[in-house]
Amino acid sequence: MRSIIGIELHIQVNRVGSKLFCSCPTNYYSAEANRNTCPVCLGLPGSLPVVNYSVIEKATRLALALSSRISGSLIFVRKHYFYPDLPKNYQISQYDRAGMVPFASGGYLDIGFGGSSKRIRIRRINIEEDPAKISYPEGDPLKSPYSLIDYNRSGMPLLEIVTEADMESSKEVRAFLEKILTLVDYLDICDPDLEGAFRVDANISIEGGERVEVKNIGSLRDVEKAINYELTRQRNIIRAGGSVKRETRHWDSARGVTVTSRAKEYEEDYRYFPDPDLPPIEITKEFIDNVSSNMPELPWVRAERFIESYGLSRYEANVLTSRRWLADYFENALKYYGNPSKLADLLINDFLGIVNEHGGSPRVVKGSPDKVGKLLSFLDRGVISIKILKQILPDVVLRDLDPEEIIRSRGLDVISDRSVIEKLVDEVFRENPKAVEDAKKNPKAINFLIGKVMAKTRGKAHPAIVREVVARKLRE
Amino acid sequence: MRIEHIGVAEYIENARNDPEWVSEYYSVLFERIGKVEPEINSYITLADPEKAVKNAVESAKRKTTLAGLPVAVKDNISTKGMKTTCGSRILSNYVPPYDATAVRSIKEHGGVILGKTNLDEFAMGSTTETSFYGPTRNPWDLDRVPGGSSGGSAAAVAARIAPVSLGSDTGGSVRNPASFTGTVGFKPTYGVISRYGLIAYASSLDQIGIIGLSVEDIALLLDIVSGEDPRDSTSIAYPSAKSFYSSIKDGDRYLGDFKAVLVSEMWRGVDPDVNTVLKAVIGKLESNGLEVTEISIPEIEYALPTYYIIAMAEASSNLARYSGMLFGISKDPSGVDWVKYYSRIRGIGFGREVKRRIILGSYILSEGFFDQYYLKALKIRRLLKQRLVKVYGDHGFIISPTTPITAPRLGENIDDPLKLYALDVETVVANLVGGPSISVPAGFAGGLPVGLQITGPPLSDLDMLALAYRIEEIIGSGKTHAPPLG
Amino acid sequence: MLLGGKMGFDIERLMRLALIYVDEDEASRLVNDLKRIMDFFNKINSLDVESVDPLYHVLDASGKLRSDKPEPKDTIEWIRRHSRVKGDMVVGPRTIVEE
Ligand SMILES: [Zn+2]
Repeated sequence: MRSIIGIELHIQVNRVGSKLFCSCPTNYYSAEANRNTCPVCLGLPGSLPVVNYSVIEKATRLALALSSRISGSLIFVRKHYFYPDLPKNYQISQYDRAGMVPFASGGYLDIGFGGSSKRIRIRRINIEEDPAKISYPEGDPLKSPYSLIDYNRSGMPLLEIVTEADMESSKEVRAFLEKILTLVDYLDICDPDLEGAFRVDANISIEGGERVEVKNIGSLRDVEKAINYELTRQRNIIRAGGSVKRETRHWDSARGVTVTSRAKEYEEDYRYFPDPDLPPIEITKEFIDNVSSNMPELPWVRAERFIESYGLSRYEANVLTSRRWLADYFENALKYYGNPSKLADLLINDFLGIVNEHGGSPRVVKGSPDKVGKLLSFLDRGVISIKILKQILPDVVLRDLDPEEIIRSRGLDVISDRSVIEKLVDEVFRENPKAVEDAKKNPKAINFLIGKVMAKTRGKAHPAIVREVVARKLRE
Repeated sequence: MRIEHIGVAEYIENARNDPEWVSEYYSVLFERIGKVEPEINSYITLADPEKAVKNAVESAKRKTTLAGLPVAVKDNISTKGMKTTCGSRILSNYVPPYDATAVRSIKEHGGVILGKTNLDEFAMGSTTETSFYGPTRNPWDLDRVPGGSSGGSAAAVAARIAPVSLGSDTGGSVRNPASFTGTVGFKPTYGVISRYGLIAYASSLDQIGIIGLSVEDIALLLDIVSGEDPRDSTSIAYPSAKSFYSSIKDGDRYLGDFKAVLVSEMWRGVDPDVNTVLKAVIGKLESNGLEVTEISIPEIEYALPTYYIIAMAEASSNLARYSGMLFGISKDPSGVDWVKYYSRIRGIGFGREVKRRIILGSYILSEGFFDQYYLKALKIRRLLKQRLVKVYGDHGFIISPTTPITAPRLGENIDDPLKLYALDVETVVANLVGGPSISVPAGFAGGLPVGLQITGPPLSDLDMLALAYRIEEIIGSGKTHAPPLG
Repeated sequence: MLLGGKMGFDIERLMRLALIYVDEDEASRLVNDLKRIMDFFNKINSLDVESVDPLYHVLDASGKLRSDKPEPKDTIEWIRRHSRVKGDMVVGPRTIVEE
């Protein structure tokens, strides 16, 4: 039973200074409730929208990166539905109908999947405004006597990307999403790691069956869970001889299930018409050419470059280029440390671990790339052990402490002075005569003595030298 | 001091010469308001007299452009800190946190907002009878309506309890009451005055207009409130460096420099007395050199239904936001679902005509009717625009009655929406085409004022005001006739 | 409740579409008005404009673009004074609709 999945993805354009139709700041993540508001985004009577140039520029970048055809005319429309999060009770959006046109149509994104590549076609890209944010005094809308509205999000710019139903599994959807999120990060459209940066609605069906729309999926993990849940639900219905009903379901993240929207729900009639407050704006070829010639390097181009120039594996290149800041960090650190492979290994396995432990945002990274490069040089020169490097890496990354300073002040440099080590070995031999005898008969017992020496130096002694000295003294 | 004949120009001249005169003017003005306003009901909210005088004197001392000129503002134009109700119960407690751009310009040039004037609820009406705050009465006959929807703005100017006022004109709402009250009402080209802060009825047709006692007064205020506004994407810079005021005063232009045309369809169904008054005036203008031709534009018969379809569709969208959430009347929403809550607030808050238009507008935009009504109306709108722009090019300004009748009695039309809509038959064309239009007082029929309307192509505002100014020179301005009040 | 002749108005549906409650008395009068107004609108059916493009914006002027410069406002004080708030959040109705 083949599954057929298409998605509608809403990307919040959070990398602009002001909202889509007013000059309220977009940094509402750190703002108190209802501080980033004005007559326009509150929908006060008499207020009028004016389009933010940067949003159009960024939408153009996205359309170019996805090979979409950009409409020559920017036309905004009103989409009408009442809801407490919508201050005007219509949303300014875009639509495809006589007199209206999406921002861009067509295009595609190739996703690498299972060793081969698959093309996911884009149907259209629209620009629209985000509604306000609703919360509930009791958490659960069912149990709450009223709702609470924060208009800080109202009027945030959104890019809606609608795909054709070209995906066949939750894994493909995830791969598509990850690639798009990386892309919008590179295009300086969206920080995908901010809360509410994207939302997904998925149209899911089993071949030959009706289509079910699952709305309200807010994270990558939930995307896979929601789609798998829905696919299983539909297969079970078909296996039991039933047929899937065409409907809209909501993803309940807390319970991990999709739930039907009430059976007898009023069917919305959105009554689209061109917004008379916003005359069309011509999107000229000059404008598009200008945006095109200022496009940042695309993530997949950069990944290829990392493989070719730095000899990284595809896996390493993909991880390092998954976020623009990370790829930048890598290339900056390379200026101070010349071994790309060792650097990649450290960033992927240790550095990212630390970042993810602290929420995954690049904002937690305080240490500059040169410091990480310096650490690796110290390791190569035998100044510190790998153990010590891993021990002090968090302080370098999170607190911007200088590696040299840490090593000196904490006395962490490796002891490789033979005379010091010989003295310590002698001490250990005196204290453990029985073990010495054992070791002379059984070569495996040597590790016990080495461990004792290491313990005396709290791990700082150069392990190879210790082993060599212990072995020699045993033979003596 | 008598203030009945003091217009904007005289006010400014006196005030700039002598700030003391300003306080005297204001005290006479407020005294007159105290006497006349209870009979007329032209204001919903009045400025605090003490503060108004203080501001005005201050402003005159600073020799600002308007020198403390009091301006009455229709109550659908936002005023910061001053209640703005749209004549509706649903906004009965709404105090905007910002000024409309036009209001801001007036304040920045030293004008004073005298008060907020009565109107048909959300400007939907032609008689000012649908206001939640009671009807405004016509200063020429208190049993009659002042027209609408800017009835309060026109009545206040006619009654000399405001020297000049701002109104809004979606389908004639500035010109119709000007015609019924013997004042001058001007609707500029769409976009010439910013709509930012004008509470929308039908966004593609709405335009702020000015009501005054003379063309000169209108040009003076137009210089202040016009101009491109970065907050209104539909606003435009009028393509002329010269001020409207100094241009119309330009002595080089004569009536013979203009051409005018009568469209036969616009004279059909006109009250015979109105017809007689206007034809006499036109004869006089012709004998003074105005070239007048006559043509027929059959499509103009479609203007009225086309206008109402577009206006209602847009209104249903613009008025969706009134739902008792952030502003306006509300109830404790605890325990009530949003469908019930919104339905009740809107059911209580809107009057009958507004409900009719929102419901019909929603219907017209809905699936299955959109193409048949809305889209078709927009096609007719284009057709009308093409036809009229051609007529203007070939024959000059269209001259017509502003309204087919003189002011009706209170209650005469209010129960029949179609009768009410028919009052707009002459005026809607200008809004559909987007061009300027002005109504100037042309005399009296049965003791009631009659208005002559001039309509022109977009951006002919300057020429139109110049023509109206010349006409005024010949037939006299509204300033000379004050209604017998007080 | 379907009222009216050839142009039937489902008043329940219209009330839901516009979210305006009208009581029964008002509804019957309203439907009567709506029918008459629609008859008046139907006048446009007699004009053939198939080949004409709809006119969405009356002037040909292009829209405006605003430069992306954030300007913080202080609307919160106004909200506190004029809206129903709890902890600076605006109080709204329940979002669960009981049928
Ligand atoms: Zn805002």
